Amino acid sequence: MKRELTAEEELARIPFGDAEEQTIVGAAAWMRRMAAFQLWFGVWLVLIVASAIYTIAVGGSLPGGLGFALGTTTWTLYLLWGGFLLRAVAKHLDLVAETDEADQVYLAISFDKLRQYFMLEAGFGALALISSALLIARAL
Amino acid sequence: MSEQSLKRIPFDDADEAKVRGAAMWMFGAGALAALSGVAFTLLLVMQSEWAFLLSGPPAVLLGGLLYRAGKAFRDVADTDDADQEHVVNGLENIRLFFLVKCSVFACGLVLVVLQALTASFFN
Repeated sequence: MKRELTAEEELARIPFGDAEEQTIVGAAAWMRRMAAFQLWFGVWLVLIVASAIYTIAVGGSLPGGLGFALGTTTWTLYLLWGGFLLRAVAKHLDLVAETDEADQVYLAISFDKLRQYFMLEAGFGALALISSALLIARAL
Repeated sequence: MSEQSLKRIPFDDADEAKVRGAAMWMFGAGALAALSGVAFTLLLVMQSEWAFLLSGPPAVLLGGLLYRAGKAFRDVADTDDADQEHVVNGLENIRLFFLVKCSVFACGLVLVVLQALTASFFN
């Protein structure tokens, strides 16, 4: 027979089974891997942006001009910001699976960070859609 | 599935807004990914440019996974029939989303490195 949970228990523990906890930990693990990819590439692009700024500062011209600089900066922000958000989501999902102190609060934080990540992802998706439309228009 | 799966996780209004917001942006990002995936697949067919193999079909798959995750999370906010199950379903789709995305990213990286090595070898 199912026992009614008290308000404190509801906040502290959501009774995920072992298989469900594995799903949560698995999701967190893949988010952490994606975050690592994004952060490494973000740092790499920061170096490219820094070298571009240096090139402009010493009076040189950029290959690709302003478009290159804007594109690289956008990519850098997307990769770094997204990477940090994903790491935060993964950390809170791990806490949901591994502790029983405030599952519901951690889940709510995870949803909030996921919302921010997918806002970024939607912006990036819009850029991908525009570039694919431009490529199709050029091909026709 | 756990024996005592919660029908309702007692999120307050602010938390439900966050869940609903996450679901909405997943729908948006999923739709844009799927549309650009179709466009890149079209380019793959039109131009036989194999680079689009990594940006076309996988993007359609990623869009589908995001749609399913968004639907599960929207059900968490809008219904009280099986919240815990919906959370796990959503996270399973999110897990698959990042698995596919990481794989595509890794394949792209390998191709770029191979292309650079081939170019330097033949030059």
